[in-house]
Amino acid sequence: MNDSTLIDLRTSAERAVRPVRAAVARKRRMREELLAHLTAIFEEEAEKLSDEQAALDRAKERFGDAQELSAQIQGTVPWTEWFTYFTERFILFREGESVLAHAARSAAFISGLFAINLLLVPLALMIRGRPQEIGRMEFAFFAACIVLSGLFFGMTLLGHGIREAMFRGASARSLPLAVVYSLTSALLVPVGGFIIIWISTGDVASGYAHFRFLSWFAFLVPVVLIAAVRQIATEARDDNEWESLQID
Amino acid sequence: MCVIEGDKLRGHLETMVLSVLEKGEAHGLEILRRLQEAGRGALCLKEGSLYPALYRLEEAGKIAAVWEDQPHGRRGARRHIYRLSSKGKRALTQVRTEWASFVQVIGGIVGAPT
Repeated sequence: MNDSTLIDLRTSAERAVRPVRAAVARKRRMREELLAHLTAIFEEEAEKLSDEQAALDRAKERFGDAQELSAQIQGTVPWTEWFTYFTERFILFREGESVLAHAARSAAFISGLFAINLLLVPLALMIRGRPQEIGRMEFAFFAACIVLSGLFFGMTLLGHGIREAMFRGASARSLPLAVVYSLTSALLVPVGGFIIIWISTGDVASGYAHFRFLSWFAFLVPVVLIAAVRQIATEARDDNEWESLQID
Repeated sequence: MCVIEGDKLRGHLETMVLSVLEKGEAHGLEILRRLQEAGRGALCLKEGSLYPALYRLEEAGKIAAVWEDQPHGRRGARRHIYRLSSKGKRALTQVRTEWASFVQVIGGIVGAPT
């Protein structure tokens, strides 16, 4: 099988999968599975026909119309996955956009989630007969919203930095930068915890106690961040390859 | 010769898939081969259409799937290996009973040979 045949088979699989509104993980699985099937029937036909182009045409004919298949596949995606689908569309990095724009979208997503809570908390407190707590709770939620949005903004920027410093081409890699980004990420969670508690209680000592407690777990943050960035970088390479195929 | 195709086939595809998986686990192409063999050439199915049926069955917990260890062929991707779950086995038993009474009743009405 030559490269152009493989691209043709990948394009056939992508025509069926790309229009489907489903979570990224589900679409990755479908692409790989449909490509495996197309490859297998192409190899069968190539053995019978001894003509690569004829085998390719026959494989596509056996596989069926991509548009029809796409609609059938859409029917198998549970409605519960729609939240994941829209969330991923909103927060995942889009090729060509700036790192700052991506970080701002991550922060906006967290703000949005907290905004829903800001509306629900007074309602819940009214129902439970504790309206006097509304002001204090709303302030605490608002502070948490601001700090967590900032945390997500910072983590997204650091994630991009770690990606550049560790997982891009060899010429862009830099160990010192990777260490700086990792140490900064380790600081973000205890500092964020301190600010939330300090603002919501007005008590510096209590904020400092939380800072010390969260510092015990701070080393986990860069470990998780690097693992996540590595996974995302690998998957994004594959996804970009699929998405660069011309399906029209 | 195609006797059963299109919607007529799709309506029963999931049950037939459960039935062929009773013989043992298989990937998509092997499931199709088993179906075509059992249908003695009378079934005509666009091969891609098998996968929505597999995804629905998996979502319903009637079959389970795992990735094969090695990619298929020299340039191929990995395939999913499907197997019947205990829920699928129960569903198959129930469908067989319903099918037998369906054939008996409708066959009796239309006067089909039994």
